[in-house]
Parts: sequence; structure tokens; C-alpha cells
Amino acid sequence: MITFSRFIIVILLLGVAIYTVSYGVWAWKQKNKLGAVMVFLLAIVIFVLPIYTIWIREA
Amino acid sequence: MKKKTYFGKWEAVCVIVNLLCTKIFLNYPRLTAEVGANAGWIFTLYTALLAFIGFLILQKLYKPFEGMDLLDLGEHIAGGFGRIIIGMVIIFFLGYLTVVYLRTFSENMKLVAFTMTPLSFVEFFFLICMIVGAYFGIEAITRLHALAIPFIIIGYVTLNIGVANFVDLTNLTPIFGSGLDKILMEGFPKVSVFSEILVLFLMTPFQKSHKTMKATGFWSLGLASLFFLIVSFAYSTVFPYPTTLEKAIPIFHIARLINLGRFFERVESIYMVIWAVASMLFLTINFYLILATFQKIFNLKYYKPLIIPFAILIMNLSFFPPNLIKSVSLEVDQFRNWSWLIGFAMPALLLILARLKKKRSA
Repeated sequence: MITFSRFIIVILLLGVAIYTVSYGVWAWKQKNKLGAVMVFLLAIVIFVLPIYTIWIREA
Repeated sequence: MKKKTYFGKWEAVCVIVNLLCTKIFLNYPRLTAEVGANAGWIFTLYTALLAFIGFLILQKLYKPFEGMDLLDLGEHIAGGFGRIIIGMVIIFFLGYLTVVYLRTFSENMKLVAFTMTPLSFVEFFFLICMIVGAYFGIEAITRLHALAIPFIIIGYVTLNIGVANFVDLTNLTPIFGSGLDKILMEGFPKVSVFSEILVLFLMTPFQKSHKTMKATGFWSLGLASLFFLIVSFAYSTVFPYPTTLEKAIPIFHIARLINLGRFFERVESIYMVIWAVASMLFLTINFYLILATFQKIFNLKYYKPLIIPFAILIMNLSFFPPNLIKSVSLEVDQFRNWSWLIGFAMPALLLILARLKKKRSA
């Protein structure tokens, strides 16, 4: 169920994930491809994991 | 040119002592009773002796690699691949500790003082400290340790002296508790209570010489062993066995006994303060080292953009254990059985391989 607080959490997570991706893009442009890939992975994990915890595990 | 950061022996000792001793506020006294029964103090002496022998060997092996941390050693042995593998193991070690301790500290804090507060709200305060500490960097964190640790030590020693009236030496009998064979066999993997010494091998680039690192290690192990011994002695003489197995937060129960006349009551509030400060420092340094290791293994230029993502990750993972009992078990029954492999065996193996490689290339 989507409540107001959960909606806010998703927006915040999305903001942090976008910020992390932008750092990954910067690292990629600096020719640090492995570092960039790891930062992209981190961005995916920090967006997916809390959603899994809030929706699936709590249910 | 960027100035290279160095910090002194005292700062490093404070960091390592806090890392080693924070478990006193959680479950260390009960762990000594679980393994040694009435002879918790023998268990403490035994594990301390093992840790000293382990560190003696490690610092001898470390001599030709002054100023290199474990990641540099991994790179020296197997290039970038070695650095990444060692770094991932270190991140796993520090991450496991941080996640479990964040949950346990918060649950205990909730149990003692904030019974109605949601767990996530209590965790949030620890998280803010971790984020702020990581933002300011290693120099600020170590200086804060150097300022706070003496007060924590004074508070801690005062608590243990305060229960002197309740000490009953007959609680130490039978003198060998659960039996010497059990203490020696089951106590061996529990040398993992000293496995946080690994952090010293991550701080070597910040220390000026091998001599400083060696002195830091011995002083840290000595002080930590002394504090472990004080608490195991106080706990097993104040409470009779098997009551010692039942206390959820042993040192809190010790603190609650203290009552100095009509003037000083509820001394456990001192305990609350030193516990909270020690926990925050513990989590902050661990969190910073996770970020610094991640930055170093993947050659990233900055670690600050990673602070919030890692904070979210750690807070999220800390909700995975279903309850306090499970999170304590993750530390005591699992982590403290194998973490000596990462804390002592892994650096030893790395140093031996690095020495062989050096000899071959010479």
C-alpha cells in the first residue's frame, strides 16, 4: 500500500540514487570504468533494497 | 599539494581501544560467562594472551612494509585484483560489524531508555553521527576519540569501582568454572573479540613509523585486556553463576546496583552517556573506514558522494535481523567464531606472501 510517508521515502531514495548515478557518470568520464560500474551498482542497491524492505518484508 | 594526514600514537590507541572495548557495553561480560562460567576472567586472560602472541607475530612480519596498509599489500602481491579482493573482505568485515552493532546499540538503547520510540528513529541518531563524522574525515574522528576516550574510561572504571560493595569472591568458585579444557577449546575462536585490531593495519599509512604502529598495537591490546579483565571480574563476582547468563545488558545491571547513600542515585545515567558516546565513535570510525576502503579499492577520487548511499545501505541492512536476539546471535555465535580469520590469519597470510614476493624479486 502506498502511504504518504512511503511516497516521501521513495522520492528521497530516488534523489539519492540519481545523485549517486551522477557521481558514477563523472567517474566514467574520468576513465575509471570499474569504479563507475560499482557506483552504479550501489545506486541500484540503495534504491531497490529499501523498497524491498518496506513493501515485501514488512508485508 | 595536499598535506598528508598523520596522527599520533595516543589518537590511534584511543581508536583501537574503543573499537575493541565497545562490546563491554553489549554482551562481552555474558560471553565470558557462557564460555568460562565462574572463570570468565581466565577466559579473558587466555584470549588476551592469544591476541598478544598473534600481534607479536604480525608486527614482526610487518617490519619491511612500513607505511603500507592491507590494501597496498594486496596490490603488492597480486596487483589491482589483489587490492580489490582484500578490500571486499575488509568491507564485509567492517560492514558486518557496523550493521549488527547499529542494530544492537539501538535496540538496547530503546530497551533501556526509549521504550516507546520507533527503532528506526533511534537508529537515525546514530546514523547522523556516522554521516557527520565521515564528512569531517579521519583526522577529526581520531581527535574526537582522543578527547572522549579518557572520559569514557573514567566513567567505566568508576562504575566498576562503584559495585565494590557487592563483590563476593566466593562467586569465583569453582575456580576453573566450566573446566579448563572447555575454556581452552571454546576460547580459541573467541580470540575474535580482538579481531578489530585489523583496523590498525588500515591505519598504518597515517602513522609515521613501524615503531609507532607496534607501540600502538601493544598499548591498545594491553588496555583492552585490562578493561576486559576488570569487567569479567566485576561481573562474575557481583552476580552468581548461572544468573550471569541471564542478563540482557550485563554492565547496565552492574550500574543499576550502585547507590551511594542518599546523594547519588541512578548512577546508570553515567553509563548511558558513556555507552552512547562509545557506540557513536565506534560506528563512525567503522563507517568512515568502509567508505575509505571502497574509495581506495576502486580508485575513486572522492568518498563524500558515497556517504549518504552507504548510510542508507547500512541502515537498511540493520533491519534484516528479525529481532534483538537474532542480531546478538549474529555477532556472538557467528562473527566472534570466525572473525579471527580476517583479523589475524588474513594479515599474516598477506604478509608472508608479500615477504616471499619481495625476497623473490630481490
